[in-house]
Amino acid sequence: MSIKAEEISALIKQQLANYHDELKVDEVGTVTYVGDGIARATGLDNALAGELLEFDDGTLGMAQNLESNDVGIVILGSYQEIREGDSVKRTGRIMEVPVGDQLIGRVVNPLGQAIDGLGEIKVDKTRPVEKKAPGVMQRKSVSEPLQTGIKAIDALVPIGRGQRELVIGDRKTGKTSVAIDTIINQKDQNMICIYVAIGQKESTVRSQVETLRSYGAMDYTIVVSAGPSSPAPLLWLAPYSGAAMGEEFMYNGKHVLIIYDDLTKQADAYRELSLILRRPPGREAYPGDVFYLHSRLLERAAKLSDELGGGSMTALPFIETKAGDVSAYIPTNVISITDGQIFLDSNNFYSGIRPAIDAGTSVSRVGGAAQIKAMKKVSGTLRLDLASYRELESFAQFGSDLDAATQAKLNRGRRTVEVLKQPLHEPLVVEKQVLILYALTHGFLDTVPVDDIMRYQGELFAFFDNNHKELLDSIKETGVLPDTAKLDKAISDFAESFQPVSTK
Amino acid sequence: MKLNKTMIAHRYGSALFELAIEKDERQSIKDELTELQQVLVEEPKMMLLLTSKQIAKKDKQSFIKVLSDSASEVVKNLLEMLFDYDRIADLDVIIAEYFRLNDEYEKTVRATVTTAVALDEKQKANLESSFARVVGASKVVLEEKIDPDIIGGVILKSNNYIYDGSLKLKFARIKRMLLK
Repeated sequence: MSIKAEEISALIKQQLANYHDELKVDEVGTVTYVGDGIARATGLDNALAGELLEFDDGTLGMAQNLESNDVGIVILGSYQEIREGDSVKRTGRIMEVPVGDQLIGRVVNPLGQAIDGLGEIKVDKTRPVEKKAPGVMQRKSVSEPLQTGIKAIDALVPIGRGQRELVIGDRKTGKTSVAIDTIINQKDQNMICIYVAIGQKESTVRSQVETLRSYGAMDYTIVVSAGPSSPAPLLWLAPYSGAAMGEEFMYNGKHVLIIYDDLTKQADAYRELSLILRRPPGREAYPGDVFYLHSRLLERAAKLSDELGGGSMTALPFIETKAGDVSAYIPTNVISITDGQIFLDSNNFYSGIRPAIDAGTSVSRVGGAAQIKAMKKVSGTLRLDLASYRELESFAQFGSDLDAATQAKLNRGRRTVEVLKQPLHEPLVVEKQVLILYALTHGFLDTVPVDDIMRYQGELFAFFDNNHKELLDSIKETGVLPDTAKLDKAISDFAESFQPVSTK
Repeated sequence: MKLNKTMIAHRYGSALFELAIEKDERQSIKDELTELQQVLVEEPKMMLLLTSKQIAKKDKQSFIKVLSDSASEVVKNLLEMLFDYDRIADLDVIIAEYFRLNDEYEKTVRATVTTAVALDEKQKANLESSFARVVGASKVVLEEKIDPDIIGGVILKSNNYIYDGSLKLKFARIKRMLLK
């Protein structure tokens, strides 16, 4: 590298010519208390709620409690260097994060700074982290499907673009896997994904990112991560930062999927900082506005009207329950905010039904509006089949003498459960989901041994890819079922060639 | 709820000030309080004595008497009342609040000036008059401070505001601009 002295001096000359000698006027306060991510300061009489403040060492803070003679400040960053008696400066700005295309493929902290070691992110736009959600007239009802690629979800609890669907379950029931598989399936679906990891172990986030990268999913994904070692204010801020980044795309007419993994930890972080700010504790020691904390965040997910470009932001908030207790404070709050929930059951998970979706308690309030016609048709009876199977299953354990109708129901139920199983990181395109569910609901699987169903499915897809591609393509393009006679014929042809291994 | 020191100072201070205006004794009370403040600073043990639990109330009362003997009616009453209400420990902040209200009344602004070298009389007068114009005050009282670290220029600090015109800050700004 060679440095030309003339160039530099020309640059300095240019800068000096435009250099304004202006007096810097700042309003300052004095820190009277620091600890646990919180500072209090006197002075700052004109500070605004949510305003960014700057400490002597350059650390930023956010004004939270405005009281008669002091201001409660949450410190965004390290608070080891801040001392009592230091000064705090008003900046006149409110909290903003960088937004834009440059963030895609990157891993950032809640302040929008890169933490993936790939260098600084140069953006020219920022957005305030707290923004009012779109109002009634700015919205449109949810109509397009968001394909998760997971059979059990797309068939039973369909998610639409702009919907908010809660994913809830105990620890270790595969919640994060649902998120990762959904992101992987968004490839070529014109979707930008934002994965907000709140209080997730750094090692987990790292392996998640590696998985996404190996499936090529980082090309359309932003990961926002606030690890367990970050101070509580950053954990609290992370979902809002993610939402701000998503809104930028949504208001530009694009489709966004945002995953908050998980909001329980965010509520805990908020509880921590509220208690240190001496706000009165309420139920389970959460502050009074913990409902608003989540409702204002999830309300920002929307399907925008055509005048605003028709963009959408779909939110998948995650909640971790303790021992399946959905009636705790935070789970009930978030259940009531969202448009439905996917309940993951640990019993299902350990008995090998993965994804461990509990069909009975999982619902989607948007429902059929977010499904293609073909899928609506084949999945119509699925929920009923599963419900009657669960009911009979416990009966059937007692005796073996069952009438034929009951036997048939049990048979169908066992096969339905088997079909809805799906291996990790293998999302399925919608036409193939329709195909296997069609085969199931039209009785083609009733004669196939349960243990052979996975293999049957794989070979059926291969058979259709090779011999009847046009049928799959027609589902994909028109969204309706093709001529059922042709479809039946094709499946029968395949069934004849299929060799079951097991005899059960 | 227990009142904090700032609230106590505000309540007693403004009551005292209003009374002083009513009685038209603003200046004389100010002088007395200045004296009292000086005593507080010079004799830190006095407050210890007045607040100590080990000393009998009667002894403290007689001590208050000594203090208030030569004082005017208002200041005498203030001292006795504060003692009776167990607020004597807050005397210093109440006096400070009185001074603050008095400054506000007189449109006087106090400021700390930091410079690298001492200001001469003319510079000081210049600074006072121009600062008075900026903040709309009729009188400016400057407290001088010398800090060679700021290299040159002036930093004015007043009422939660900093007016920074130091060379140190300007150099830092140029450095940031060139590094960009």
